[in-house]
Amino acid sequence: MQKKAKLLLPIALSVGLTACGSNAADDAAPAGASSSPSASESQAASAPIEIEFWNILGGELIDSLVSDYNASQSKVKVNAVYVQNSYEGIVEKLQVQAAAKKLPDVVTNGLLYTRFANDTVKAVPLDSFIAQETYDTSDFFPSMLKLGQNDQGEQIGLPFGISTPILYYNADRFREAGLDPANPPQTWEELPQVAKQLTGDGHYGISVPLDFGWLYQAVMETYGGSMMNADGKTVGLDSEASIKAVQTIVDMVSKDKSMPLLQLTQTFDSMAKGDVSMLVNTTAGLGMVLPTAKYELMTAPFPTYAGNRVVPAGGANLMIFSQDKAKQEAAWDFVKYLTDAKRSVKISASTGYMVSRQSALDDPDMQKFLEENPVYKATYGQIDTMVPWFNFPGQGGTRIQKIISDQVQAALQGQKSPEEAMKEAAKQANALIQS
Amino acid sequence: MRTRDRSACLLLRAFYYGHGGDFRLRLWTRKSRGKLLVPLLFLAPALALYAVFFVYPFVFTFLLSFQQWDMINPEKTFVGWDNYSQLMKDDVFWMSLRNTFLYMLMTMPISIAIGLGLALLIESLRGGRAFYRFIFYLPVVSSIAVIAIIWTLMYDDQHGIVNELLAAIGIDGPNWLSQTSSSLWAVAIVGIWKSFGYEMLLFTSGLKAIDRGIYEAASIDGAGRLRKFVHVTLPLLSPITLFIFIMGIISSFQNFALIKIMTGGGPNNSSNVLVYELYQEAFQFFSVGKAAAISILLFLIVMTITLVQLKVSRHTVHYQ
Amino acid sequence: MVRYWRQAEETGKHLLLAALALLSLVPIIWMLSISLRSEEYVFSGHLVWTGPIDWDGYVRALVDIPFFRWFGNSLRIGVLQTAGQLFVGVCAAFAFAYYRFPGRDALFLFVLMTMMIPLQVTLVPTYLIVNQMDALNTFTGVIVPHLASGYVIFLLRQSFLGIPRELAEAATIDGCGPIRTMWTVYVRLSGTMLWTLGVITFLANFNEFNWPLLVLTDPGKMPLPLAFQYFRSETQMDWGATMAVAGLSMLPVLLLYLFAQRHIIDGFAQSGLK
Repeated sequence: MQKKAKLLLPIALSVGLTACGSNAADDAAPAGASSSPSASESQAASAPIEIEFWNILGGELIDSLVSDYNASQSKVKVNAVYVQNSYEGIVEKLQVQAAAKKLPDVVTNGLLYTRFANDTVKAVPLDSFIAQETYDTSDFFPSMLKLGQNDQGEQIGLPFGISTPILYYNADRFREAGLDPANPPQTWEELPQVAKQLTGDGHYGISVPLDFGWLYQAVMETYGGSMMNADGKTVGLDSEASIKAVQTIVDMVSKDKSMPLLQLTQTFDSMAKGDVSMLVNTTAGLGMVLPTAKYELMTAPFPTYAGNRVVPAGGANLMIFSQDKAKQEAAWDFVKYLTDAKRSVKISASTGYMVSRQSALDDPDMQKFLEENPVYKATYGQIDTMVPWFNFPGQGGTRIQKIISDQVQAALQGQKSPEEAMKEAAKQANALIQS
Repeated sequence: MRTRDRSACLLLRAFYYGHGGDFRLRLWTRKSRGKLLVPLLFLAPALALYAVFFVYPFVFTFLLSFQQWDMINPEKTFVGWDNYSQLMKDDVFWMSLRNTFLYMLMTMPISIAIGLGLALLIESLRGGRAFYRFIFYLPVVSSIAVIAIIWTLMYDDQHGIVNELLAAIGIDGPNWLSQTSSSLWAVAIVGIWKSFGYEMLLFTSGLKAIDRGIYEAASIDGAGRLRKFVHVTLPLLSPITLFIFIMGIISSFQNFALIKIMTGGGPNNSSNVLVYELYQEAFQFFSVGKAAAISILLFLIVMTITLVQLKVSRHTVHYQ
Repeated sequence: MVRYWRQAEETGKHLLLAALALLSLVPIIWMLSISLRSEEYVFSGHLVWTGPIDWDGYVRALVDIPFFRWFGNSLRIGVLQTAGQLFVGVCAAFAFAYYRFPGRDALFLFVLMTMMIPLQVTLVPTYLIVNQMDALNTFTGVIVPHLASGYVIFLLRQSFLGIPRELAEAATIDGCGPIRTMWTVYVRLSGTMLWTLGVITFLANFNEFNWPLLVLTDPGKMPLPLAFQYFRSETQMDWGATMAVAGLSMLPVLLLYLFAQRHIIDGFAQSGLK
């Protein structure tokens, strides 16, 4: 009988604990719903419609956005769901839940997956909502608005947080190396030299994670190439521009030894710690780097090549996936809230993403913020040269991204010459597109 | 899950036992006169669960390997052997296959050697055994997600402990996770770290089960420590060694979380293994049919290896 | 003289083991070390932290997140899943060990084969089934698919085979039905093995990561291994708190293991794993 008692104790304990746990949950939940609509409302004083909001940021920002919204009205209750693994994680989750027919309502969908969301998951077009309440979209920056449109011109998403790649640099290290922080390198032609000067003493000069498809597109297209050739049937990965772009970076790694090999997420850490003195990466990383950097951090626009600059837009669109009419309305209401000027300012200030509306940019709070934190300004200068993050057509889209990443890595590791690597990438990519 | 893996070998050994030492499969016992109903009732919960959560999914996956599906839209297209033939031509597949085998060869021998060594060493102590066993088992009970992240930090080229410690003894450590030459090793080291405690535990119970009398008899016959080890300990440990090998191999084939969190299969597929490629095919390339094909192939490989091991064991394993 | 050698040898072994133990504990020591540092120091300095100790990580671990609720979730999953596995296992092992019936060996081989199926092979279809059962995001969905554990069935059968048939036959003659026979003879006499298995499977189930990650989406239901990643400020990991949670979440498992250690080893030895 002793054994029985021993087994019972943990069972009792766990039941007890979870009972305590769920009691707490029950107490917390109705806090929002208890502020029920007034009696003068129609007798269908229904409980708020609950919708799910997937995001990759989490933390205080999302918590406050969601709770402010929930408190501001009583028709919709938003449950924020934090998804791991950035936009790839969102796509994964979408897949799995789509198979179970449990699509979420509102999602921050990475710009790399716009085509996927439209073609495969069938995001709900927003045009009907926009038309029915004559929602004014003219305040949005046109280039950003375009990012949320599909090939047919339908608006399937509204910009949530848009970013471009910029140049981060360590002003203190600049001074130590005898460089002038007020005059950061502006071109790719001069960048390797500056990087070499900044290298030494246990520090690397620069980091450019070229194996990240987005940055590859940025550098390559700035060098004059394009992801897809004009004929629409073959990729432009093996163009001269592409090879030259990759060669520049590879030289910095192997010849100049001014660039370390890092995993994508490590690059921000590295910059923050001062291990690298310059970083070419998304402006959305400011939220990560600025607070922990113990030196004077400054930013500059993405360097040009031969006077040209092409930057792909990063970040996400807000998309709606629910099939239920009532939920769609609720989701739309939330989307409007998240994309209004005040919210745009809030998001931008805490992450480094750009505001998506002119009025948000003109907002005095935002202006003040930019004055006090000039590092956030760099990205705005590039809005006009922004192009969409390229989504390869067809089923093989994401696979091609991996092909690019693998081959660039091979070049960076010194396993292949940039020419071999990019030709191989093009070969594999073309095979996929044409199949 | 480890529990599932461990069972494989244990079951096989039970089989061996249950049939007086050989593996001929007897599908129908002689005394089949026994009541069928009652035992089946007792087996019912297990069988029902297996039917729903093993048989059905396995058949589903098998059929899926001949189709193309993106998991989102209900239409599945039949493509025959396409998935398989595409895999055969895919460099990434061969790389993953190679890495899977390499990973197994990297982790198993070292982890078993450490486990055995520790088991022997600790068993021979006069005091403090439980303490050491506790310490060495700690890695096994730690949560894998946490461990993966800690080790990622430890492997950092400029601030990580690993290279710092190596530098202290004069070795210039590589950029573990970011170089193709070292990424698989980096993961393998964590794999070894996390499992040797378990092997130590199993070897310990194996050692404990050896009759002291045999050692005494050997001493009387004039055997020194080394001879005792080679001719008494090792042979008598062979059953559990077989078990550890089979279980370890199955487990190393399923190593997923470390790869996902630490390297993402890179750089350039240098640490991509079959289970991770499977995941990428399904969730990043939306090619669930191909993922299914990989999983069927994986299953066949595991089965083959296990059966081969068992065949070999008939000649090398001694039972008391 | 011999005694001195023995003493020296013993000391030598202790030194070696202590060094190895320290080495293998480095990651864990580091985790604890980071958990005690405030954010700005997280990446500076070395293994052992000599700067200011900041308990903030632990405070946040216990206050900012529903640590106890998550702990309770893990406990719930661990206990219920283990109890279920043992129940299913005992019944099945009894059938395999005591009865003789046509197809018995084939079925046992089948059970064995299920072990070799990698998790990923059955992952997606199992997810879809759980969805059809409407059990997504519930504890049922997490626990039920794993209730049939070949490992448990095998070890129990092994243990049951070690119990003489005559006892059970005697019980039957005395008028016990099959259930009573199973209980009074096999279960009562397999105490050690049951206890051992219980502990081992509990440890594994408590720490389970992959499957709950897929099935549970509601943060309130998550078990500890999943929950630690929730520590983020807007865009960044709060390492101090993360490591604190990690350490705290390992604690109960370790304590359990500490107390049950002897049982585990004895259990294995007794089961005839020779």
